[in-house]
Amino acid sequence: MRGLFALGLALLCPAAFAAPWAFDPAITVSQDPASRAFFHLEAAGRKSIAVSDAWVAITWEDNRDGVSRCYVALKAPGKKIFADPLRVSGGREAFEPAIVGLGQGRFALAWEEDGRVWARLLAADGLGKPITLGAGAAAQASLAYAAPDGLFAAWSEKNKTYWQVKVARLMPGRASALTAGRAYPVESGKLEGDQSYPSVAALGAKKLVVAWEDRRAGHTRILSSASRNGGARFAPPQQINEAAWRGQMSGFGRGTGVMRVALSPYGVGGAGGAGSVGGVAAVWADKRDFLAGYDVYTAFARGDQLSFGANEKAQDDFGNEIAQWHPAISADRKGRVAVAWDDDRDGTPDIWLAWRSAQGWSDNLAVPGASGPGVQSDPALILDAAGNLHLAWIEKTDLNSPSRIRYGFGRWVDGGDK
Amino acid sequence: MLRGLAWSLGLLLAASAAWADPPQGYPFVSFDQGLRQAREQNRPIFLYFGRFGCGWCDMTNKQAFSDPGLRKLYTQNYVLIYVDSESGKRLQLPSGERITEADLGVRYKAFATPLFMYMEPDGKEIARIPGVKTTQDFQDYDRFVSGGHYKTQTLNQFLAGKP
Repeated sequence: MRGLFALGLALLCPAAFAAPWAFDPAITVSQDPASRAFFHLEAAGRKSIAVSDAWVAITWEDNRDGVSRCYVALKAPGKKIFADPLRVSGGREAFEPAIVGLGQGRFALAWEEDGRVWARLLAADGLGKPITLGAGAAAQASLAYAAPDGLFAAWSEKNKTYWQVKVARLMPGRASALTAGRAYPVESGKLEGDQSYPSVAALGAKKLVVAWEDRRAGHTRILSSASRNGGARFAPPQQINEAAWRGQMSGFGRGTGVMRVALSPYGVGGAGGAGSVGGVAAVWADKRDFLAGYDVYTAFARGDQLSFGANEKAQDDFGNEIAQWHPAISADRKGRVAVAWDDDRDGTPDIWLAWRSAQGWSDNLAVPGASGPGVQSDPALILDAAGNLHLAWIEKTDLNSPSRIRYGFGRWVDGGDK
Repeated sequence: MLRGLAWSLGLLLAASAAWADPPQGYPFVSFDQGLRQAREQNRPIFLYFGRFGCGWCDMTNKQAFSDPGLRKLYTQNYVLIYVDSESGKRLQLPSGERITEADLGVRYKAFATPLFMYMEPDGKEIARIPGVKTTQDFQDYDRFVSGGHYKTQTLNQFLAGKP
C-alpha cells in the first residue's frame, strides 16, 4: 500500500524518483537443483560482490552438500550468465566470504573457516592457494584494494578476553600466490570490549579507514579509525553513530544499538586524477528509534583527518515505521553513492535502493527484479567505473525456505537524479 | 592474588549484568540447544530476545526477573533461551540452516527489545510479547501457557477474563 502511495508521489514528482539506473531482468547466479540448500550473503561490510574491469564475481556460503561452505561465481565480460560456482573454502564449515576486485579480471577472497580467517586469489584460470590470516581464532573478514597501495584485509581476532580488529596488507604474487604482511591491531592499548564486524576501505596514498562494532561502552557503537601509513598505525578511534541516549532510562541499560557497518571509498581517483584521495562513505543499521527497529544511517568522512560528519538517514519517510535490515553501500570515483537494504514495508521483504545527490538521499526505490512476492533480502552491491550498479541478493519463497542467489544489473543512465 | 582475581571477576560480572544480557540466576541456553532440550524434555520454550546495553531489557531484568518466585517458576516450567539480537554468534535451525543470532532476530521480527516469545516444545509459536513487563505479567503469561489456555483463547481474551 505504501509502495502504491510512493508510486503516486513519484508520478507527481518525476524528478525525485528518476532512478539513475535502467535495470536489466534479474538472473540466477546459483541455486541447488534439489532446492534444499540455504544460501547466505553476509560478509562483514557486505562485500559479497565485486567487479574487476568487466568481470563480475559474487561469493556466498551455502550448505548444498550438507555442510556450510563458501563459493564464488564469475561472469566473464560480455556473458549474460555466471559460470558454475567454484568452491572457495576447504573441507570444514566456512562462513561469511568477502571479495574485492584487483583489476585485470583478478579478485581476492577472504572467509572464516574452522574458526580461522583465510584468503586466496581468484582469476579466470581459477583459485590461488589459500593462506590463513591472523594468529588465532578469527572471523568476519573484510577486504579493500586501491592502486598502487595494494590489498588489505581486516578481521576480528580473539584476544585473551575480547575480540579485536586487526588489519594486514596482503601481497598478490605470481601464479595466483598470496602472502600476508604483519597484522596490526587498530588499537594497540588494552581492550575493554569486543570489536567485531570490521569493514575496511582503502583510499590510496597509504590511507585506510576501518570501521567496526564496538562494545566497550556497554552497548554497541560504530567506531572508525584511519591509518596514513598503510595500516601499520591507526589514529585513536572516532564514534561514527551519533548518540541518541539521553539518560531517559533512569540508569537502566547503557545505550541504543547499531550493527553491521559497511564502508566504501568515494571520489577516490576522481577529479584529482588517479591516486587522488577522496573520502569514505559509511552505512549501518541504527536503532536510535528503538520502537520502529533499525534504520539505515549513513555518514561521510571527508578531508585529511577522515573524520565522519553528521549522520544522514538514507531511508525515506515511508520506511520509518518499518525495520530495515542488511544495509550495504558502494560509491565510485565520481562520488556517486548508492545504498541498498531490505525491508518489508510492502508486505514482504524487498530490496530497496537510495542514492545520494546534492539535495540529499533520494526517495527509496524497490529494485525491479528484486522486489515483489516472496522474500528478496541481504543485498550486496557495487558500482563499477562507469557508475553501473551490480547487485546480488538472496531470494526465497518465505523467510525460512531454501534460497538462491540472484543478480541484477543497473545501467547508468544520464538524466537520472545524480 | 586469588581473592583479587575473584573480586575482579565479580566486578566484571556485575558490570555485564548492569548492561543488559540474560537475567542472572536463570539457566538460559542458546537457541539451537534450547530447541533440542525442549523436544527431548517435552517442555515449552520461553525465548528472550535481548540486546547488549538495552535499557528496557535491563529494567525488566532488575524489576521482574529478580523475583525469586518468578525465577523458580520459569526455571521449572520452561526451557529458557536467550538471543542477543545483534550478535554474530552462529546457531543451527531445525532445517539445518546455519544463521547468526542477529538473523534469527530478523526471522522473528525482533526489531524492538526485549521481545519475549512462548513456544511449544516443537518451536511452534504460542505468544509474542514485546516491551517491559512486570513479575505479575510474567506470572499471568505462565498461567496462559502452562494451563494450556492458549489452545482455546487468545492472550488478550485470557487476560481479560482473569480474576
